Amino acid sequence: MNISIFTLALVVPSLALAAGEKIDQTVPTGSTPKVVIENMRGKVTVKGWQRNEVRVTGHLDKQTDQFVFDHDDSNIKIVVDAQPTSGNWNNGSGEGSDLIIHLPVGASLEAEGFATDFSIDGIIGEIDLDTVSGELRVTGNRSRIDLETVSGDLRISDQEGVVFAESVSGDIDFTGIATRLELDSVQGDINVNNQGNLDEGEFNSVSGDIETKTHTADKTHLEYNAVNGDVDISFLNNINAKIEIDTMNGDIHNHLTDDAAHKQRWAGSSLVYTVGDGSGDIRISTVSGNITIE
Amino acid sequence: MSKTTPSLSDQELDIALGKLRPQLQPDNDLWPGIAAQLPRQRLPWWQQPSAIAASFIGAVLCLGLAVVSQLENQQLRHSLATATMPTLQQAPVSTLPVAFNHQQQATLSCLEPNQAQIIEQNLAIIQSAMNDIHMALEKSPNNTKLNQRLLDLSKQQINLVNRANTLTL
Repeated sequence: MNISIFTLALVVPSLALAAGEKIDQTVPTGSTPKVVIENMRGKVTVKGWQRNEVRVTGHLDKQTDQFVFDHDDSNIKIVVDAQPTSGNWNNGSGEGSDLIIHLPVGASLEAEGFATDFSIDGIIGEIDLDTVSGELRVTGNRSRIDLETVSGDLRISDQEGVVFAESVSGDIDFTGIATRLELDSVQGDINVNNQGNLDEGEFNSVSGDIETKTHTADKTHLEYNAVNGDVDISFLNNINAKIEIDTMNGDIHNHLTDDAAHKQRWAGSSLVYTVGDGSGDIRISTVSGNITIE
Repeated sequence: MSKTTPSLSDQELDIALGKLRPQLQPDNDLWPGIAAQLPRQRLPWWQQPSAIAASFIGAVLCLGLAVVSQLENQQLRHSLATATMPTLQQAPVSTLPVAFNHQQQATLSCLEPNQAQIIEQNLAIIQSAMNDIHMALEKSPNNTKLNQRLLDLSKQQINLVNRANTLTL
Protein backbone atom coordinates (compact mmCIF):
# COMPACT_ATOMS: atom_id res chain seq x y z
CA MET A 1 0.00 0.00 0.00
CA ASN A 2 1.21 3.41 -0.95
CA ILE A 3 -0.64 5.22 1.75
CA SER A 4 1.58 5.76 4.68
CA ILE A 5 0.14 4.72 8.00
CA PHE A 6 2.36 7.37 9.51
CA THR A 7 0.78 10.00 7.32
CA LEU A 8 -2.74 8.94 8.16
CA ALA A 9 -2.00 8.93 11.83
CA LEU A 10 -0.73 12.49 11.80
CA VAL A 11 -3.60 14.12 9.96
CA VAL A 12 -4.90 16.10 12.87
CA PRO A 13 -8.25 17.84 12.55
CA SER A 14 -8.92 21.42 13.53
CA LEU A 15 -7.87 22.48 16.94
CA ALA A 16 -10.06 25.10 18.54
CA LEU A 17 -8.33 27.63 20.74
CA ALA A 18 -9.60 30.63 22.63
CA ALA A 19 -9.34 33.96 20.84
CA GLY A 20 -6.13 35.83 21.51
CA GLU A 21 -4.61 32.78 23.20
CA LYS A 22 -0.89 32.24 23.12
CA ILE A 23 0.17 29.31 21.04
CA ASP A 24 3.24 27.08 20.89
CA GLN A 25 2.84 23.88 18.90
CA THR A 26 5.37 21.72 17.09
CA VAL A 27 4.56 18.88 14.71
CA PRO A 28 6.73 16.57 12.58
CA THR A 29 6.72 16.74 8.77
CA GLY A 30 8.87 15.91 5.74
CA SER A 31 11.81 17.94 4.44
CA THR A 32 9.88 19.58 1.59
CA PRO A 33 6.29 20.01 2.70
CA LYS A 34 3.76 22.20 0.96
CA VAL A 35 2.56 24.72 3.50
CA VAL A 36 -0.64 26.78 3.34
CA ILE A 37 -1.14 29.68 5.73
CA GLU A 38 -4.27 31.83 6.01
CA ASN A 39 -4.40 34.73 8.41
CA MET A 40 -6.62 37.73 7.82
CA ARG A 41 -4.81 40.38 9.84
CA GLY A 42 -1.74 40.86 11.94
CA LYS A 43 1.76 39.67 11.33
CA VAL A 44 3.14 36.34 10.26
CA THR A 45 6.87 35.67 10.35
CA VAL A 46 8.10 32.49 8.71
CA LYS A 47 11.64 31.23 9.24
CA GLY A 48 13.36 28.27 7.66
CA TRP A 49 15.22 25.83 9.88
CA GLN A 50 17.14 22.58 9.49
CA ARG A 51 14.53 20.38 11.11
CA ASN A 52 11.73 18.28 9.69
CA GLU A 53 9.29 19.97 12.01
CA VAL A 54 6.83 22.83 11.93
CA ARG A 55 6.57 25.04 14.97
CA VAL A 56 3.95 27.74 15.45
CA THR A 57 4.39 30.25 18.27
CA GLY A 58 2.86 33.62 19.15
CA HIS A 59 -0.69 34.66 19.80
CA LEU A 60 -3.87 34.41 17.79
CA ASP A 61 -6.15 37.18 16.62
CA LYS A 62 -8.58 38.24 19.34
CA GLN A 63 -11.45 37.55 16.99
CA THR A 64 -10.33 34.00 16.25
CA ASP A 65 -13.18 31.52 15.88
CA GLN A 66 -11.03 28.58 15.04
CA PHE A 67 -7.38 27.72 14.65
CA VAL A 68 -6.61 24.96 12.17
CA PHE A 69 -3.26 23.18 12.19
CA ASP A 70 -3.45 20.13 9.92
CA HIS A 71 -0.27 18.33 9.04
CA ASP A 72 1.24 15.24 7.50
CA ASP A 73 4.50 14.35 5.77
CA SER A 74 3.95 16.54 2.76
CA ASN A 75 1.19 19.02 3.58
CA ILE A 76 0.78 21.59 6.33
CA LYS A 77 -2.25 23.81 6.75
CA ILE A 78 -2.29 26.66 9.24
CA VAL A 79 -5.49 28.72 9.29
CA VAL A 80 -6.52 31.43 11.71
CA ASP A 81 -10.23 31.75 11.10
CA ALA A 82 -11.14 35.16 12.52
CA GLN A 83 -14.36 37.13 12.20
CA PRO A 84 -13.90 40.89 12.48
CA THR A 85 -16.36 42.96 14.46
CA SER A 86 -17.73 46.14 12.96
CA GLY A 87 -15.18 48.94 12.76
CA ASN A 88 -12.56 46.85 14.45
CA TRP A 89 -10.70 45.49 11.44
CA ASN A 90 -7.51 47.39 11.84
CA ASN A 91 -4.03 46.04 11.66
CA GLY A 92 -2.75 49.01 13.62
CA SER A 93 -4.86 48.18 16.68
CA GLY A 94 -2.57 45.28 17.56
CA GLU A 95 -5.49 42.89 17.67
CA GLY A 96 -4.43 40.72 14.74
CA SER A 97 -2.44 37.53 15.04
CA ASP A 98 1.27 37.70 15.72
CA LEU A 99 2.72 34.37 14.71
CA ILE A 100 6.23 33.03 14.24
CA ILE A 101 6.27 29.86 12.19
CA HIS A 102 9.35 27.71 11.67
CA LEU A 103 9.36 25.49 8.60
CA PRO A 104 11.90 23.14 7.00
CA VAL A 105 14.08 25.20 4.64
CA GLY A 106 12.97 23.08 1.68
CA ALA A 107 9.30 23.85 2.23
CA SER A 108 7.16 25.56 -0.36
CA LEU A 109 4.71 28.12 0.93
CA GLU A 110 1.37 29.58 -0.07
CA ALA A 111 0.06 32.30 2.24
CA GLU A 112 -2.91 34.62 2.12
CA GLY A 113 -4.19 37.49 4.24
CA PHE A 114 -5.96 40.82 4.12
CA ALA A 115 -4.29 43.25 6.51
CA THR A 116 -1.45 40.83 7.17
CA ASP A 117 2.27 41.51 6.98
CA PHE A 118 4.18 38.44 5.87
CA SER A 119 7.89 38.14 6.43
CA ILE A 120 9.53 35.03 5.01
CA ASP A 121 13.17 34.27 5.72
CA GLY A 122 15.23 31.30 4.58
CA ILE A 123 12.61 29.23 2.74
CA ILE A 124 14.14 27.94 -0.49
CA GLY A 125 11.06 26.32 -2.06
CA GLU A 126 8.47 28.16 -4.10
CA ILE A 127 6.65 30.98 -2.34
CA ASP A 128 3.26 32.43 -3.22
CA LEU A 129 2.03 35.31 -1.05
CA ASP A 130 -1.15 37.30 -1.39
CA THR A 131 -2.32 40.15 0.79
CA VAL A 132 -4.21 43.44 0.41
CA SER A 133 -2.87 46.08 2.75
CA GLY A 134 -0.03 44.18 4.29
CA GLU A 135 3.67 44.35 3.52
CA LEU A 136 5.40 41.36 1.99
CA ARG A 137 9.05 40.63 2.75
CA VAL A 138 10.96 37.67 1.38
CA THR A 139 14.62 36.99 2.08
CA GLY A 140 16.89 34.14 1.06
CA ASN A 141 14.64 32.31 -1.36
CA ARG A 142 16.30 30.11 -3.99
CA SER A 143 13.45 29.22 -6.26
CA ARG A 144 10.47 31.13 -7.55
CA ILE A 145 8.39 33.66 -5.71
CA ASP A 146 5.04 35.06 -6.69
CA LEU A 147 3.91 38.03 -4.63
CA GLU A 148 0.74 40.07 -4.87
CA THR A 149 -0.37 42.96 -2.74
CA VAL A 150 -2.60 45.97 -3.21
CA SER A 151 -1.45 48.81 -0.98
CA GLY A 152 1.42 47.19 0.86
CA ASP A 153 5.07 47.32 -0.14
CA LEU A 154 7.02 44.36 -1.50
CA ARG A 155 10.59 43.82 -0.33
CA ILE A 156 12.58 40.99 -1.84
CA SER A 157 16.21 40.47 -0.91
CA ASP A 158 18.92 37.83 -1.28
CA GLN A 159 16.81 36.10 -3.91
CA GLU A 160 18.15 33.63 -6.43
CA GLY A 161 15.78 32.55 -9.15
CA VAL A 162 12.56 33.87 -10.58
CA VAL A 163 10.32 36.63 -9.26
CA PHE A 164 6.80 37.68 -10.14
CA ALA A 165 5.47 40.60 -8.13
CA GLU A 166 2.43 42.80 -8.48
CA SER A 167 1.24 45.81 -6.53
CA VAL A 168 -1.24 48.64 -6.95
CA SER A 169 -0.01 51.43 -4.69
CA GLY A 170 2.85 49.71 -2.91
CA ASP A 171 6.51 49.94 -3.92
CA ILE A 172 8.46 46.93 -5.15
CA ASP A 173 12.12 46.58 -4.10
CA PHE A 174 14.32 43.74 -5.28
CA THR A 175 17.92 42.85 -4.53
CA GLY A 176 19.41 39.51 -5.42
CA ILE A 177 20.55 37.24 -8.22
CA ALA A 178 17.59 36.76 -10.50
CA THR A 179 17.40 35.25 -13.94
CA ARG A 180 13.86 36.33 -14.52
CA LEU A 181 11.94 39.28 -13.08
CA GLU A 182 8.39 40.31 -13.83
CA LEU A 183 7.42 43.30 -11.70
CA ASP A 184 4.19 45.18 -12.12
CA SER A 185 2.96 48.25 -10.30
CA VAL A 186 0.29 50.87 -10.83
CA GLN A 187 1.29 53.77 -8.60
CA GLY A 188 4.21 52.34 -6.68
CA ASP A 189 7.88 52.62 -7.62
CA ILE A 190 9.94 49.67 -8.80
CA ASN A 191 13.58 49.42 -7.68
CA VAL A 192 15.84 46.59 -8.78
CA ASN A 193 19.45 45.80 -7.93
CA ASN A 194 20.20 42.52 -9.62
CA GLN A 195 23.62 40.88 -9.63
CA GLY A 196 22.40 37.89 -11.62
CA ASN A 197 22.50 37.59 -15.40
CA LEU A 198 18.98 38.53 -16.30
CA ASP A 199 17.56 36.38 -19.10
CA GLU A 200 14.13 37.88 -19.08
CA GLY A 201 12.68 40.93 -17.40
CA GLU A 202 9.46 42.84 -17.65
CA PHE A 203 8.85 46.00 -15.64
CA ASN A 204 5.51 47.77 -15.86
CA SER A 205 4.23 50.84 -14.09
CA VAL A 206 1.63 53.50 -14.71
CA SER A 207 2.56 56.46 -12.52
CA GLY A 208 5.39 54.95 -10.52
CA ASP A 209 9.07 55.25 -11.46
CA ILE A 210 11.14 52.27 -12.58
CA GLU A 211 14.81 52.08 -11.66
CA THR A 212 16.88 48.99 -12.40
CA LYS A 213 20.55 48.14 -12.01
CA THR A 214 21.20 44.75 -13.45
CA HIS A 215 23.56 42.34 -15.15
CA THR A 216 22.19 40.82 -18.32
CA ALA A 217 22.56 37.48 -20.08
CA ASP A 218 23.79 37.38 -23.69
CA LYS A 219 20.36 36.90 -25.21
CA THR A 220 18.50 38.94 -22.70
CA HIS A 221 14.95 40.01 -23.35
CA LEU A 222 13.95 43.07 -21.34
CA GLU A 223 10.87 45.24 -21.54
CA TYR A 224 10.12 48.43 -19.64
CA ASN A 225 6.74 50.12 -19.87
CA ALA A 226 5.63 53.21 -17.98
CA VAL A 227 2.96 55.79 -18.58
CA ASN A 228 3.73 58.80 -16.40
CA GLY A 229 6.70 57.40 -14.54
CA ASP A 230 10.39 57.79 -15.33
CA VAL A 231 12.57 54.85 -16.32
CA ASP A 232 16.24 54.71 -15.24
CA ILE A 233 18.29 51.75 -16.41
CA SER A 234 21.88 50.96 -15.48
CA PHE A 235 23.60 47.93 -16.91
CA LEU A 236 26.29 46.48 -14.69
CA ASN A 237 28.00 44.54 -17.47
CA ASN A 238 28.70 44.98 -21.18
CA ILE A 239 25.49 44.23 -22.97
CA ASN A 240 24.79 42.73 -26.38
CA ALA A 241 21.39 43.83 -27.49
CA LYS A 242 19.29 45.77 -29.91
CA ILE A 243 17.71 48.61 -27.96
CA GLU A 244 14.45 50.26 -28.94
CA ILE A 245 13.31 53.30 -26.99
CA ASP A 246 10.26 55.42 -27.55
CA THR A 247 8.41 58.06 -25.60
CA MET A 248 5.44 60.22 -26.47
CA ASN A 249 6.24 63.30 -24.36
CA GLY A 250 9.31 62.44 -22.31
CA ASP A 251 13.02 62.88 -22.92
CA ILE A 252 15.50 60.16 -23.84
CA HIS A 253 18.98 60.27 -22.28
CA ASN A 254 21.23 57.66 -23.80
CA HIS A 255 24.61 57.30 -22.10
CA LEU A 256 25.44 53.87 -23.50
CA THR A 257 26.49 55.11 -26.93
CA ASP A 258 26.68 58.36 -28.86
CA ASP A 259 23.38 57.68 -30.58
CA ALA A 260 20.89 60.46 -30.04
CA ALA A 261 17.12 60.30 -30.02
CA HIS A 262 15.28 61.85 -32.91
CA LYS A 263 11.90 63.48 -32.88
CA GLN A 264 9.20 61.57 -34.66
CA ARG A 265 7.26 63.30 -37.38
CA TRP A 266 4.10 64.00 -35.41
CA ALA A 267 4.87 63.52 -31.74
CA GLY A 268 7.35 61.88 -29.41
CA SER A 269 10.92 60.71 -29.71
CA SER A 270 12.48 57.39 -30.49
CA LEU A 271 15.87 55.79 -30.60
CA VAL A 272 16.93 52.43 -32.00
CA TYR A 273 20.48 51.17 -31.87
CA THR A 274 22.56 48.07 -31.35
CA VAL A 275 25.19 47.44 -28.73
CA GLY A 276 27.70 44.60 -29.12
CA ASP A 277 26.51 41.71 -31.26
CA GLY A 278 22.85 42.65 -30.75
CA SER A 279 21.85 39.17 -29.64
CA GLY A 280 19.42 40.39 -27.01
CA ASP A 281 16.56 42.81 -27.26
CA ILE A 282 15.57 45.61 -24.92
CA ARG A 283 12.45 47.69 -25.38
CA ILE A 284 11.66 50.77 -23.34
CA SER A 285 8.50 52.80 -23.67
CA THR A 286 6.87 55.65 -21.77
CA VAL A 287 4.13 58.13 -22.49
CA SER A 288 5.27 61.19 -20.55
CA GLY A 289 8.07 59.80 -18.42
CA ASN A 290 11.76 60.43 -19.08
CA ILE A 291 14.07 57.57 -19.99
CA THR A 292 17.70 57.31 -18.96
CA ILE A 293 19.89 54.40 -19.99
CA GLU A 294 23.55 53.87 -19.12
CA MET B 1 32.65 67.66 -89.38
CA SER B 2 30.36 69.05 -86.81
CA LYS B 3 28.13 72.07 -87.27
CA THR B 4 28.37 74.57 -84.45
CA THR B 5 25.60 77.04 -83.56
CA PRO B 6 26.78 80.45 -82.45
CA SER B 7 25.52 81.41 -79.00
CA LEU B 8 22.71 84.01 -78.93
CA SER B 9 22.60 87.05 -76.77
CA ASP B 10 19.54 87.82 -74.58
CA GLN B 11 18.44 90.44 -77.06
CA GLU B 12 18.61 88.00 -79.97
CA LEU B 13 16.64 85.45 -77.96
CA ASP B 14 13.89 87.99 -77.25
CA ILE B 15 13.65 88.77 -80.97
CA ALA B 16 13.45 85.07 -81.82
CA LEU B 17 10.73 84.54 -79.21
CA GLY B 18 8.74 87.44 -80.63
CA LYS B 19 8.63 85.70 -84.01
CA LEU B 20 6.92 82.60 -82.61
CA ARG B 21 3.17 82.14 -83.07
CA PRO B 22 1.30 83.25 -79.95
CA GLN B 23 -1.19 80.32 -80.12
CA LEU B 24 -0.98 76.72 -81.20
CA GLN B 25 -3.97 74.61 -82.20
CA PRO B 26 -3.96 70.88 -81.42
CA ASP B 27 -4.19 68.50 -84.32
CA ASN B 28 -7.36 66.84 -82.97
CA ASP B 29 -10.15 67.52 -80.44
CA LEU B 30 -8.85 66.84 -76.88
CA TRP B 31 -12.18 67.28 -75.03
CA PRO B 32 -13.50 63.69 -75.39
CA GLY B 33 -10.38 62.38 -73.62
CA ILE B 34 -10.68 64.95 -70.81
CA ALA B 35 -14.38 64.22 -70.37
CA ALA B 36 -13.66 60.51 -70.01
CA GLN B 37 -11.31 61.22 -67.09
CA LEU B 38 -13.79 63.39 -65.16
CA PRO B 39 -15.49 61.66 -62.14
CA ARG B 40 -19.02 60.53 -62.75
CA GLN B 41 -21.87 62.16 -60.88
CA ARG B 42 -22.26 60.47 -57.49
CA LEU B 43 -25.45 59.17 -55.95
CA PRO B 44 -26.65 60.78 -52.72
CA TRP B 45 -24.92 59.09 -49.76
CA TRP B 46 -28.11 57.50 -48.46
CA GLN B 47 -28.59 55.71 -51.79
CA GLN B 48 -25.13 54.17 -51.86
CA PRO B 49 -24.97 50.44 -51.01
CA SER B 50 -21.86 50.87 -48.82
CA ALA B 51 -23.56 53.57 -46.73
CA ILE B 52 -26.66 51.42 -46.29
CA ALA B 53 -24.51 48.48 -45.20
CA ALA B 54 -22.50 50.63 -42.78
CA SER B 55 -25.68 52.02 -41.22
CA PHE B 56 -27.04 48.52 -40.76
CA ILE B 57 -23.79 47.30 -39.16
CA GLY B 58 -23.75 50.36 -36.89
CA ALA B 59 -27.29 49.64 -35.74
CA VAL B 60 -26.40 46.01 -35.02
CA LEU B 61 -23.28 47.08 -33.10
CA CYS B 62 -25.30 49.53 -30.99
CA LEU B 63 -27.80 46.82 -30.19
CA GLY B 64 -24.97 44.42 -29.35
CA LEU B 65 -23.32 46.98 -27.10
CA ALA B 66 -26.57 47.53 -25.26
CA VAL B 67 -26.90 43.79 -24.68
CA VAL B 68 -23.27 43.48 -23.58
CA SER B 69 -23.69 46.28 -21.08
CA GLN B 70 -26.40 44.23 -19.40
CA LEU B 71 -24.13 41.25 -18.85
CA GLU B 72 -23.65 40.07 -15.31
CA ASN B 73 -20.33 40.82 -13.69
CA GLN B 74 -19.51 37.15 -13.79
CA GLN B 75 -19.58 37.17 -17.56
CA LEU B 76 -17.52 40.34 -17.59
CA ARG B 77 -14.87 38.78 -15.40
CA HIS B 78 -14.78 35.74 -17.61
CA SER B 79 -14.51 37.74 -20.82
CA LEU B 80 -11.71 39.89 -19.46
CA ALA B 81 -9.91 36.98 -17.88
CA THR B 82 -9.83 35.17 -21.21
CA ALA B 83 -9.14 38.22 -23.36
CA THR B 84 -5.98 38.07 -25.44
CA MET B 85 -4.13 40.57 -27.55
CA PRO B 86 -5.59 39.37 -30.87
CA THR B 87 -9.15 39.85 -29.61
CA LEU B 88 -8.10 43.08 -28.01
CA GLN B 89 -6.81 44.43 -31.28
CA GLN B 90 -10.08 43.57 -33.00
CA ALA B 91 -12.10 45.63 -30.53
CA PRO B 92 -10.67 48.79 -28.95
CA VAL B 93 -10.31 48.47 -25.22
CA SER B 94 -12.06 51.76 -24.71
CA THR B 95 -15.31 50.00 -25.63
CA LEU B 96 -14.88 47.24 -23.06
CA PRO B 97 -17.64 47.40 -20.46
CA VAL B 98 -15.49 47.91 -17.38
CA ALA B 99 -17.91 50.07 -15.45
CA PHE B 100 -19.40 47.82 -12.86
CA ASN B 101 -20.14 50.42 -10.21
CA HIS B 102 -23.24 48.73 -8.91
CA GLN B 103 -21.31 45.57 -8.21
CA GLN B 104 -18.56 47.57 -6.53
CA GLN B 105 -20.93 49.53 -4.34
CA ALA B 106 -22.83 46.43 -3.29
CA THR B 107 -19.59 44.72 -2.35
CA LEU B 108 -18.12 47.71 -0.52
CA SER B 109 -21.27 48.20 1.53
CA CYS B 110 -20.85 44.69 2.93
CA LEU B 111 -17.28 45.26 4.09
CA GLU B 112 -15.94 46.59 7.34
CA PRO B 113 -15.22 50.35 7.08
CA ASN B 114 -11.45 49.96 7.10
CA GLN B 115 -11.59 47.20 4.52
CA ALA B 116 -13.91 49.21 2.32
CA GLN B 117 -11.65 52.26 2.58
CA ILE B 118 -8.56 50.30 1.46
CA ILE B 119 -10.44 48.71 -1.42
CA GLU B 120 -11.99 52.03 -2.47
CA GLN B 121 -8.68 53.89 -2.38
CA ASN B 122 -6.98 51.33 -4.54
CA LEU B 123 -9.88 51.05 -6.95
CA ALA B 124 -9.58 54.83 -7.32
CA ILE B 125 -5.85 54.50 -8.02
CA ILE B 126 -6.53 51.89 -10.69
CA GLN B 127 -9.31 54.02 -12.17
CA SER B 128 -7.01 57.04 -12.24
CA ALA B 129 -4.35 54.99 -14.00
CA MET B 130 -6.91 53.80 -16.52
CA ASN B 131 -7.93 57.40 -17.15
CA ASP B 132 -4.29 58.32 -17.78
CA ILE B 133 -3.99 55.52 -20.30
CA HIS B 134 -7.24 56.49 -21.98
CA MET B 135 -5.82 60.00 -22.43
CA ALA B 136 -2.62 58.60 -23.89
CA LEU B 137 -4.63 56.36 -26.20
CA GLU B 138 -6.43 59.39 -27.59
CA LYS B 139 -3.08 60.50 -28.98
CA SER B 140 -1.93 57.05 -29.93
CA PRO B 141 -5.00 54.80 -30.33
CA ASN B 142 -3.12 51.89 -31.89
CA ASN B 143 -0.50 51.60 -29.17
CA THR B 144 -0.71 47.91 -28.32
CA LYS B 145 1.32 48.27 -25.12
CA LEU B 146 -1.10 50.83 -23.75
CA ASN B 147 -4.05 48.70 -24.79
CA GLN B 148 -2.51 45.70 -23.08
CA ARG B 149 -1.86 47.75 -19.95
CA LEU B 150 -5.44 48.92 -19.95
CA LEU B 151 -6.62 45.35 -20.19
CA ASP B 152 -4.32 44.35 -17.31
CA LEU B 153 -5.71 47.16 -15.18
CA SER B 154 -9.26 46.08 -15.97
CA LYS B 155 -8.41 42.60 -14.79
CA GLN B 156 -6.71 44.02 -11.71
CA GLN B 157 -9.79 46.10 -10.94
CA ILE B 158 -12.07 43.11 -11.23
CA ASN B 159 -9.72 40.90 -9.23
CA LEU B 160 -9.76 43.46 -6.44
CA VAL B 161 -13.55 43.55 -6.35
CA ASN B 162 -13.51 39.77 -6.50
CA ARG B 163 -11.14 39.74 -3.58
CA ALA B 164 -13.45 42.04 -1.66
CA ASN B 165 -16.33 39.72 -2.52
CA THR B 166 -14.59 36.81 -0.87
CA LEU B 167 -14.26 38.86 2.31
CA THR B 168 -18.01 39.33 2.47
CA LEU B 169 -18.72 35.59 2.32
